[in-house]
Amino acid sequence: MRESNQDERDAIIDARYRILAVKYGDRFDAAAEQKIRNDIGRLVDAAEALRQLPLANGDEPDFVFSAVRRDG
Amino acid sequence: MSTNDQRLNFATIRELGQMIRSGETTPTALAEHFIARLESIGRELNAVVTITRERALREARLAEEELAAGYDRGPLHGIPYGVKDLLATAGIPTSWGAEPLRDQVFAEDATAVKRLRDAGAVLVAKLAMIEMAGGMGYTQPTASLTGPPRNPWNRDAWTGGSSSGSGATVAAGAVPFAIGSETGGSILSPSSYCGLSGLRPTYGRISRHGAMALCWTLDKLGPMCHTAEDTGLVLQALAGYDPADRSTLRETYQFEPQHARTSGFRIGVLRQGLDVVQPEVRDNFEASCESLASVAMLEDIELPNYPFTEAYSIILSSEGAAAFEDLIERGVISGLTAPEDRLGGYAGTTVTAVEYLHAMRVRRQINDDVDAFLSRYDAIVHPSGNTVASPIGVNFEAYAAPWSRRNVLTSLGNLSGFPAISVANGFGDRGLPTGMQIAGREGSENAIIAVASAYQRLTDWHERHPND
Repeated sequence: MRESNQDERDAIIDARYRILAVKYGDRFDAAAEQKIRNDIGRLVDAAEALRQLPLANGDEPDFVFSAVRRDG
Repeated sequence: MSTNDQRLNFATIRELGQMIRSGETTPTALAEHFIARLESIGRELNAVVTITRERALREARLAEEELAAGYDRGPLHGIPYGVKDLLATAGIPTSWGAEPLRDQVFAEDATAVKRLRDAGAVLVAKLAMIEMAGGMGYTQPTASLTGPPRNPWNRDAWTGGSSSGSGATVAAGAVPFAIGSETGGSILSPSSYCGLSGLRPTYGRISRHGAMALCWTLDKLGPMCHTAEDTGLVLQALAGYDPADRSTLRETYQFEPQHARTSGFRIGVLRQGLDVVQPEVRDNFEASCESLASVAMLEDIELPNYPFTEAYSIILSSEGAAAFEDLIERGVISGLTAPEDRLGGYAGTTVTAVEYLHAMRVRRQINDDVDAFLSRYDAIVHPSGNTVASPIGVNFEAYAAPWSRRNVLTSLGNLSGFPAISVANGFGDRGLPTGMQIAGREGSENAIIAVASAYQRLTDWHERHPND
């Protein structure tokens, strides 16, 4: 990974962890923080890997919304 | 009738049905027999949450009266069974395997439980499971309110998860069949580790209404049994559209073993990843392929190259975070048994909506390509798990480190929602079973059960059972 990419990755992980820390920080000690940062890192990496696959504007998600008309 | 009557302990659903109809036994006698087994070996294996004695005896008496009156509900009538404790049962606690939810009670039965009741089956137990069906990222077996699930083949090993009690009790002859659930391997893994026939049906085949939701677009329920044929019998009772679960398929499912092929199959053999499985797993798989060659044309295959593990990971983490948001918010997860589970839900809450949608867009491309690929075969085969069950007290990632825990076909099958059945195919490290999974395209349960049944006619692994 290029250094700038690594910096960006670290910054994204840090930003996401900070959101959690705002909400739940009193629950996390140093070991918990490290585990959660690692978990976030795995998801950031997974999302980045998916971005490498080209998608066109018309490529829809694999679920279809359906309108419902209930009786009555 | 002894509680250690091997003839009853490991009888198939058809055999028990014949014994009931011939007058050799009764539904009540069967319920009593298997309740006694659950009280003894079931408890010893940490495989039972609640024995539903009162309900079981009521359902068994009703089955007896109906059969005596000539009203036969079919092959499950009077047959005892257990369910993973994530399926709601009216008035009986449903713990989701989690200590903080030990006393959680729902007012209604889950649709799957209702359907089994309608088929005349007799609910004898709510079975142990990994807390929250493993959705909090557990890494070792001690992640359940009932303690580490013990494998009847070797009690120092675990059963696989998260349908741990379902695997242990069927393998130990403590119930004739059980219902498990799978989001990422939770039926195939314990079926393989415990030497069972376990079916993960097509996504949407069985209603999940009343089942704990871990991941709405990945969760499936399925039967765990002694034989492939039994899984078909149970699936037929469970399958069908349910307006309470809009993911359910509209098409009906009919198990038709009498019309099933017994040979002439076209089978794709997936050897991708065999370099990272235990040697015994690989050897047993190759031996299984040799057996199948007498009833099938085998062809080596390779999966399309897609980031399916990454897509799976994003989808599971974000849907799981949403499904359990209130438990995370209220700090309920801090009361879970496994320390790693107390922190496992937080990261998923940080996945962005765009990342989730991106994963679902990639998923669609994968699914279209995978179906085109699978349509060329009656089934594809691969080991069910890369290793046998790890020892209790050991992190299973560490146990699998010399090889790999990631099973390529299990990940893809769950992401794409196609069905697979695991069948026992030998033994490996520490005398523990290994399994082969037989997968097929969406809606092909009868084809894969036919292949599995053909394999079981050629071998006797499914007829071997552990001692108490």
